[in-house]
Amino acid sequence: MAAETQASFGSLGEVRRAGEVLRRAQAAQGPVPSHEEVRSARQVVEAYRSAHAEPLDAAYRELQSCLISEGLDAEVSLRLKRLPTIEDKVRRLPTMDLSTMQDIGGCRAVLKSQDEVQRVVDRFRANSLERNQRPDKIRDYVVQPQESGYRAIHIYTRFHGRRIEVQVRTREQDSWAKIVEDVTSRTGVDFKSGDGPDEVHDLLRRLSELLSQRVPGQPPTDEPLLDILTRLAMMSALGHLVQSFGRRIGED
Amino acid sequence: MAPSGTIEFLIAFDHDARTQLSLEQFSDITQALKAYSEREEQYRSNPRVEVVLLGADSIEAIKVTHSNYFEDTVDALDNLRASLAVNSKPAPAA
Repeated sequence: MAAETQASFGSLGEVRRAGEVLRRAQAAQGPVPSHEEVRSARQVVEAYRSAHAEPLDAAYRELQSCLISEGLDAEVSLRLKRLPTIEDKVRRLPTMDLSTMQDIGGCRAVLKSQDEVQRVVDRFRANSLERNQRPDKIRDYVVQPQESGYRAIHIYTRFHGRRIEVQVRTREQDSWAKIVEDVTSRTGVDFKSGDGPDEVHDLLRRLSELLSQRVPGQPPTDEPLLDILTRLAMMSALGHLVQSFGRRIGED
Repeated sequence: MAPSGTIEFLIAFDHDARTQLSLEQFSDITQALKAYSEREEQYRSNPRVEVVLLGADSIEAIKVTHSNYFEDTVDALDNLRASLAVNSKPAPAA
């Protein structure tokens, strides 16, 4: 086995310090770390991330098991957080302690209705309580959506001592999240993290509200919704144009 | 590490060109993690390329949950617009 994959992150204190080094490297605030310090910190972060792989897989299996127990059919996937995203998060949140970051390992299930979502969440929590002898933390972003308009239910759980985030969403909620990613992808602006013009964020927020009000089986005609989507598409196309135009100018 | 049925998918996606630069599949998590690290290093200087490690039981599941990393799937914005527009009257001229 290659030496890099065997790299250990030592203690959680070391992980926290690695996070601080990466924050200083990006923010250029305080003493700027040397290349060697940054390289070393990245290795620690990678090793810490790798330690989430197997617990994440266990969480994913448990989520699937809950779906089966409820007789529900859904797509489930897992994702190990990208290093640039970890570094970015550490930079954006000055008090973030990397050793307590909750979403390095995440898995997600997309269900057909809020009712199905609730059944899965309830079962997962019950199993978790029995397994860990302590309750998972729940963030219900349906009852209280994030400022961006994000709606979903998050379960913050532990498997084999590692924190794992479980996202349970309806198709509409998932669709919205994908649209935010699409707009980000097309324009090169990180809307997902809150960057970009307010006009677009207002549209996205309104979009999330309208989608949340849709009743399953509702006929697909929806002028206000279609109007918002058209505006978003136009703005994304504009954003994409501006982005590639700006790059071409830069190349002159 | 205990074997598992989960397949790991390592994707490098170019957001500018909106194409998938590479898609690697692993059943061994250790190999997947090593490749993740290598691929991230490879594209570190290009912020428009996204390297991501996803896992599921099949590629079909990933194409549903993470359709934004596949070229042949219509993106979510167009998808939703299309499904709504089918039964809609044409939008009035601006």
